[in-house]
Amino acid sequence: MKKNIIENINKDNEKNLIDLSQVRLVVIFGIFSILFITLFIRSIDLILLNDKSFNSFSSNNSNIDKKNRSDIFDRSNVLLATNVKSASIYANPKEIIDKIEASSKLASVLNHQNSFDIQKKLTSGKPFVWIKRQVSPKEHFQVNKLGIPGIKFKQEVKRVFPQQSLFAHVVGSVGIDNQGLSGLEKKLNQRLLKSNKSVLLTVDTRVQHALRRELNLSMKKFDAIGAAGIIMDVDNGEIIGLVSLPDFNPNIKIKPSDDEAFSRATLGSYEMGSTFKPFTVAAALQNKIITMKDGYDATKPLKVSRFIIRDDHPKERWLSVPEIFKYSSNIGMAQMAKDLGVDKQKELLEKLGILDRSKVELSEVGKPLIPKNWREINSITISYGHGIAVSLLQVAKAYAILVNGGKKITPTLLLNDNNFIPDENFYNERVISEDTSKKIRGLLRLTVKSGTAKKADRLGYEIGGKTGTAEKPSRGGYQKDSIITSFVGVFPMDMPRYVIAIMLDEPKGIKETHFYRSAGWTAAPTVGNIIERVGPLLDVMPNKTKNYWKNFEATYISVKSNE
Amino acid sequence: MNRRFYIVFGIILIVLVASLFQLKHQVVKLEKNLVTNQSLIQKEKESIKVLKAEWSYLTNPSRIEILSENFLNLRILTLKQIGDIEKIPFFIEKKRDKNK
Repeated sequence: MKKNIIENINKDNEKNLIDLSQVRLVVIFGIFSILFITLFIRSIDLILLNDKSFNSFSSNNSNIDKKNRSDIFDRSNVLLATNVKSASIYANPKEIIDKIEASSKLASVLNHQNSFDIQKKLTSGKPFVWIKRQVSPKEHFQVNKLGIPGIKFKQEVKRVFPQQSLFAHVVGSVGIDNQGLSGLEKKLNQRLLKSNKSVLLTVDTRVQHALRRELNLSMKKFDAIGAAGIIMDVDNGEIIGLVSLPDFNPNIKIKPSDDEAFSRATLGSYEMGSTFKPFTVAAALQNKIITMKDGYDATKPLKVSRFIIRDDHPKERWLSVPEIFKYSSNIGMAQMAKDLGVDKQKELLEKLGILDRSKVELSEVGKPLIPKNWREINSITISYGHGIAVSLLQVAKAYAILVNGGKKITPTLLLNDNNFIPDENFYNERVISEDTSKKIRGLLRLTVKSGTAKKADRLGYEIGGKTGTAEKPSRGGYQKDSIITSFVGVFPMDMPRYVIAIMLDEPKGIKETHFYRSAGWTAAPTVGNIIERVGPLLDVMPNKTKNYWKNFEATYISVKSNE
Repeated sequence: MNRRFYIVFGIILIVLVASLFQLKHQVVKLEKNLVTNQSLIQKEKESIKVLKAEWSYLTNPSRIEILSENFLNLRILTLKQIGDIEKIPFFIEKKRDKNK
């Protein structure tokens, strides 16, 4: 019995013990399983899910590229603008012990910086001052070599223009913080910043150089204060070259002088003078007001209200339309404009794009100055290019339309650009008829062959064109001493491909020109030289057919025997 | 039967886990490689950009013109110097031969 009781107690104890150990086991098992599950989950997390750290690592680098402006190339892939890494020097003045010594040392190795200015920056009390931004690799190395404590470098991106000043008025310039300041860089700022694609331009570096060089030579030769030139494809409005002188080097001068920054090719509006005459003649021919056989009396100066209209090269006789054109007779033009009337003249000028601001992709585009009340007297002066001021680009475009058979074009600097989608009628609509265009071509050729622009003629190419000499307007009248001469040339005449418009600002007569300074002596030979140089570059074969001219002469210039 | 199944299952599990870790280590290694290479490519790209800019600068027409004036005996091309290849006597003779 007693044994039984003890056994029972033992059994009870045993049972309790077993229960207790079971509870302990469960608890320990529970804790461990929670820990293991945590470890398991964490390892899954690490192995399979959490790999962001690597991704961010590798994508970090390409971010730098995205923030930069796109590169700009010319039509044959010559680099015009790109970005390179460049160091900028800054200082924490508090860390610099001897500020005077430091500033004189820095000034000795940095270009265009003087010791006094640097000292001023260092003693300004600010914790951060720029010493010089975007320094050259040489300057970077030398400042590093000085080893001044507190002088530090920051990697920045610098916009560089390897062609220097050649495209100053096309590509433009960029500020220190990579914002476009002028030209295409300003006009297309957003596009250049956002898209990664490089931009292809219609300009050709070789042609651009030839144009700039010849303009520069003429500008120096005739002591002009400025010059501008545009070469444009007459069929699609692509601008092959665009130069305005004086220009600037956008790598060095971020802020050029006003004169250098001013684009005489696109921003400046000038009275073009006789260069305007083809527009009036085209309108008169197109509206059948005159035919090529008609003419006007140019025996004596014409009086219109209080104006007296004179000829620069008076012939003092009756002149046929081709003669009026080639001798650039204002008297003849005035009578033609009278017969034509205000509305028809205005209509053609409107269609040629003379009356609206050009839509070319540049930030510097001038608005034409046109009379508010367009009366007969305005119409008469406009017929020979006075009382209206337009940009050279507008004139180039208008000439392109006149000689390409009357097809509408839009001057552009972007090659293969898809932004411009013309409506269906755009290419079908003709501003003037093919026939009128042919006649204008003949008249332009005649002017170079035997008229005011003989000095533009070159053996090998059939060149046509029209000169223009205009006095610069001043308050209440005209300045006799300062003139603008212009010449718009087209070549080759049998199938025009390119129009070349140039202007010289205030050329002076020289001994070689017998002290004449009119367009025939200054602007015309310049265009001749330009065409001689760029023709082969533009793939125009010299010495091609001249049948076209023979036909024209036989048909229209039969009055020759009268002379 | 049951026990054998567990053993086989356990072995497969171990092999899988081991190879998974191996794979992961390899991926990590490759990732590091990739990062290094990408930064190298980036550096190369930057030097290419600098070289392209330099090339464009060194071949700019104004510079070439000055160099050519100083070191070469060349003059600017005139229109008289351009002609049809057909007009060279050699070609005319050849044509005549063909016609015969």
